[in-house]
Amino acid sequence: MAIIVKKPAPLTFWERIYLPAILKGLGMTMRHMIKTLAGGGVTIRYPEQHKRVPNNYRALHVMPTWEDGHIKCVACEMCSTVCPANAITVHAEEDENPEIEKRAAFYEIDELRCIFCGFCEEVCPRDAIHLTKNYEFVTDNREGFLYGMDRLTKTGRLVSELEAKENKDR
Amino acid sequence: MPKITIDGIECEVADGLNVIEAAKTIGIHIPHFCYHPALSLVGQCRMCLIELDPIPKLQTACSTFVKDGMVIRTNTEKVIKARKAIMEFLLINHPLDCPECDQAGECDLQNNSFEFGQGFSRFEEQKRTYSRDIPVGEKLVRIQDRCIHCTRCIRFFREIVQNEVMTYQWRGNNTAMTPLEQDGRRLDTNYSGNMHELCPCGALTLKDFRFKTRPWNLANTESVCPLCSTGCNIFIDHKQRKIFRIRPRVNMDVNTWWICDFGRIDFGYAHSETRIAGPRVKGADADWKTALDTAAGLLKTTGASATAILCSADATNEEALLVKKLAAALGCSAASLPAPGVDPLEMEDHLLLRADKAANTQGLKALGIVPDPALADKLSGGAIKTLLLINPFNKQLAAALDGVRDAVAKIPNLVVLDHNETDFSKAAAVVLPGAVWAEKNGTFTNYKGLVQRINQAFAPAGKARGDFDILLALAQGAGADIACKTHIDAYNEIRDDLLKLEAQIKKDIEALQKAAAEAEKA
Ligand code: SF4
Ligand code: SF4
Ligand code: SF4
Ligand code: SF4
Ligand code: FES
Repeated sequence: MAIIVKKPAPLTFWERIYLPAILKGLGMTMRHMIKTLAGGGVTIRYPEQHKRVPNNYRALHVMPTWEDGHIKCVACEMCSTVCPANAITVHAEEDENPEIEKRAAFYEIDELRCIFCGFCEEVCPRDAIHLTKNYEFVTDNREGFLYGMDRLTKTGRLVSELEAKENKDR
Repeated sequence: MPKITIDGIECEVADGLNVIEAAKTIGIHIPHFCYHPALSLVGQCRMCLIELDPIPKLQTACSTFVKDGMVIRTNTEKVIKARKAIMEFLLINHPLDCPECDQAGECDLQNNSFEFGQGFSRFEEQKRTYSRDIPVGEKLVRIQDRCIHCTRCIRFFREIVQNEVMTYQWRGNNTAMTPLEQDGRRLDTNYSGNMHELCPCGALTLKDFRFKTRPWNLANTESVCPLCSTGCNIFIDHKQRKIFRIRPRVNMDVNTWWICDFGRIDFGYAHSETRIAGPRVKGADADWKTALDTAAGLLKTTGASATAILCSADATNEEALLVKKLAAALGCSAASLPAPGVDPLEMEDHLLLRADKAANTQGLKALGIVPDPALADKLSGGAIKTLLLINPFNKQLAAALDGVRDAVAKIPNLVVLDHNETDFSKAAAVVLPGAVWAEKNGTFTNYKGLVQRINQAFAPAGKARGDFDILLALAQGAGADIACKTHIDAYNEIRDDLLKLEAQIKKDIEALQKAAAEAEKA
């Protein structure tokens, strides 16, 4: 099959001398410089300051539970199936309550593998996995990024801590 | 041969087909739930509705048989609308709990709903539910809420298992498929596991597979069941070098649609704790080279008359060929032991199960490895000083060895090739860890001489190796010059022998059947 390559249109005179583009760029630099000198800085002094991230920001996961603390996840393996990074491992077990029937015996997300696409949240039929806006979970070892059920059910708390920080900084 | 027209395609189909099967022959799929080619017709689910000229009302394809000149339409607006309505009806009381349901991913209800349903329901009332406490035996799990009342289970137990253990209870909306557990009728028949595939939704699922994994995570390898001489065709469903379940593979010449529950559930030995971890020489761990050299050395030391090879009938035809060649190189005899009173043709029940609990008795016979009654005497008399014992874990060989257990364990140069530990492997001078059937390539010859291929699902566990490779190394170590280096070469070498046996057995079976028919007449 032949591939048709479209040649870009030839540059006009003004484009060829580059000056307008350079002036435009310089102008932007000047604008930021003046803004910074005047005190309205664009740099955030992280980690002393926190940027307010939108609520649909996608970072560390959380696994919501029911009011009685029972995990919502029923180990249907939708998330592990859809995950493009193969970051999720789920094993199921029988729940004592026949009405619930099935629950996760083992659930683990490798946050180093995760690309934060949010597919797991989107696909979950039981609303049992969310991505929070908490992006602050670095550690210095790989195991620290393996989030099991025990940690994932508690990461929700971190979000309110983060929000408190955001509010403090503004 | 009636000429019919389906969706504008003219075709000629075999006599006596119903419209579902006739459409199948030209690649048109008519959705259905209650129809199954092995079971009687009930026309219960109404999913298979089609238009049949010139009848004004829709007809059920499962109970309509082809006649010359029939004009059938499966994709008109009327049919599509009817299917949508039926799907909505079927899902009225269905809990739609696919996330918890074990059937999801291989569910007819799910698939047909996706393809032919409408994605919404107008039903707002309370769905009816049932108690989940009614026991249905050791093998199945019953969740009656999901049942769509196709009655396949009732018909299966009545017509195929011939043990009427399921029935309707209550009426209309509250109809429940209920197991009968009186008069010795139980759901734990030898064939109950087949409901796992047969039930079109998640109402009856397999306890053994429950919640282990999702079906789409599994790789499916075509193989043959090694547990009896019937040789049912199966899929080995596996993941990460572990078998998760066994499913039947349709073969109308052997097992039709079914397998027995032993074949379905008894694969634990492939992953058991007692798998032989690695080669051993005199009880101490050794590497493969040492073990093979030592074994080959032992086999050559005591001279032909004091050496023997004893092989279970779980060996593939190709391995059996190597056993024969090894025996020829050593000048000794290769045999199996006569299992007490086992005829490969003898049935253990009315459907599939046979008394011969080894996969390849007939194949070994074709290659001349036959039971040697004299061998037992020689073993107990201590005349054998070197024995290559292949797969004594096999139940049949174990039973045959029962009488000479101590004598065999005392043989000084005992070389055991097996996948699981036995008393023999513990006493052996050299232990060579072999493969289970799921880890092998090769062929088995079933009771009627049919040669069937088994495929390797995954590599042998741990340090184990394929029996074919081990036997090849042993034969080469013993000085045999062997041209067939792979199981395919080996198969090509023995194909004629195997075909000859098949023809022979066919004749034998026909003679037997004739005799039986005459005896009945008399
Ligand atoms: S988190 Fe949701 S999608 Fe993942 S296994 Fe649990 S219920 Fe299924
Ligand atoms: S956000 Fe995407 S990559 Fe991360 S676990 Fe979920 S599905 Fe996988
Ligand atoms: S039976 Fe099928 S449709 Fe019903 S819950 Fe199970 S998978 Fe879903
Ligand atoms: S339990 Fe399954 S096979 Fe039996 S009637 Fe219900 S849906 Fe059909
Ligand atoms: S398949 Fe025809 S009515 Fe069920």
